[in-house]
Amino acid sequence: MPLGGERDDLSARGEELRNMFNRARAFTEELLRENERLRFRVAGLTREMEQTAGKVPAAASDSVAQLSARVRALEEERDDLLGRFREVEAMNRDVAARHQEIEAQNNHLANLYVASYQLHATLNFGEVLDTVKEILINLIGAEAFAILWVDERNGDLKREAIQGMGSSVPEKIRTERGPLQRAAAGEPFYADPLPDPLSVDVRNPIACVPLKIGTRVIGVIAIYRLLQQKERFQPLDFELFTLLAGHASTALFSSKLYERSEKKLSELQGFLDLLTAPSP
Amino acid sequence: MSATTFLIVEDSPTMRQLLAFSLRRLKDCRIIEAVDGVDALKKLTTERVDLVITDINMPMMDGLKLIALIRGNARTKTLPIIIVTTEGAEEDRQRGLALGADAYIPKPIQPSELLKKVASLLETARN
Repeated sequence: MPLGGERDDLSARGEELRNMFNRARAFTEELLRENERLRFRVAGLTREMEQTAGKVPAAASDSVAQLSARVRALEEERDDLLGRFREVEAMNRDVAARHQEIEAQNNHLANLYVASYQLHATLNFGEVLDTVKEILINLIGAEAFAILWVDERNGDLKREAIQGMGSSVPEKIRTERGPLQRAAAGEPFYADPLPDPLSVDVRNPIACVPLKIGTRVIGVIAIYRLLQQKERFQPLDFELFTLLAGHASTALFSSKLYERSEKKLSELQGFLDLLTAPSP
Repeated sequence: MSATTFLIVEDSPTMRQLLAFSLRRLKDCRIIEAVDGVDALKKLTTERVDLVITDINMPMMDGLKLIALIRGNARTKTLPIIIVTTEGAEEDRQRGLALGADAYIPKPIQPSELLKKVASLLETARN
C-alpha cells in the first residue's frame, strides 16, 4: 500500500475523531447548561417551597382555628335549639293532653248539667221517671234496666219502671242477698268485667245505683244490659250514677209527694165544697 | 255572614238539650228544635236550615222517613243530615247512610265528636 493512501486514511479517521470529540464537547456543554438550568430551577423551587412553607400554614391554621370555633359555636347553638325544641315538644304534648282532659271535662259537665236540669224541670212524677229513663238510655247507654222503689214496710223492691226487659222483672223482688240487696242497703254495685249481655238475670244486674235522700234509700236503679255499641262503663257514667243517686232520688221523691199532696188537696177541696155548698 | 241554623229532631227533651248545649259551643249558631219528623218538616218549610241532626226512633214520623222526604225535596235535597241514635248495629248505620244521611253517630254521644262531624259537613257544604 502506498504511503499517500495510508496518510489519507489516517487523516480521515482523525477528522472523524475530531468531529466526534466536537460533538461530545457540544453535548457535554449542553448537559452542563441543562444541569445549570435545573439547579437554578431547583433552587427556585426550594425558595418557593420555603416561602410557602413559612406563610400558608400560619394563615391556614388561623382559618382552621376560626372555623373550629365557629363549628363549636354552631354545635352549641344546635344543642341549645334541640333542647328547646324538645322542651316545646314536651309542652305541646302537655297542652294536647290538657286540651283532651278539658274537652272530656266539658263533655262531662254538659252531660251532668243537662241531666241535673232535666231532673228538676218538673214536679210531675211520670215526667221525672221519663227523664231518669232518658238519662239512662241516652247519656249512659243502658238498653235494659229497671227503676225499683223500696217498700218501707218490708224492704222489698217494687217495680216502678222497666225498659228493654219485657215482663221479666216481677212486680216485687225480695232483697235477701246479692247486688240488689246491697244497693237497697245503700251500697252501689258495678260488675267488672261485664257479663255476657245475652244472659240477663233479674237478681244480678250489671249495675245497681241506690237512690238516696241523705242516708235513706228510697229506690234502686238496676241496669241489666248496655246498648250494643257500648262495651263498658266510662268514667262519665260513674259521675252520672252519683248524680242520679242524689238528684234523681230527690226529684222522684218530691214529685211523688207533690202528686200526693195535690191529690189530697183536691180531695179536701171537694170535701170543703161539699160542706159549704148551699143546701137545696 | 248569617248564623248557622241547626234543626234538632229528637223526641227526648234531655237529648235535645244536650245536643243544643253542645252546638252552642260553635260561634254564630241558631238552634231550632222539633219533637218528631212531622214537626221537623213543618219547620223546614218555614225556616232556612243549614244542617239537620235527627234521631231515628220517634213518634208520628221516624228519622228514616224524614230523611227520605228531605232528600226527595228539591229545596232540601242537599241539606247535610246527621243521625244520632241508640241503634248501633252496622246494618242500621248502613240503612241510614243509604237513605241519604251524611253521618251516623250512635248514642251515647261525645259532644266533641258531634262538633267535629258538624264542622266537617258544614265545610263540605260550603265548598
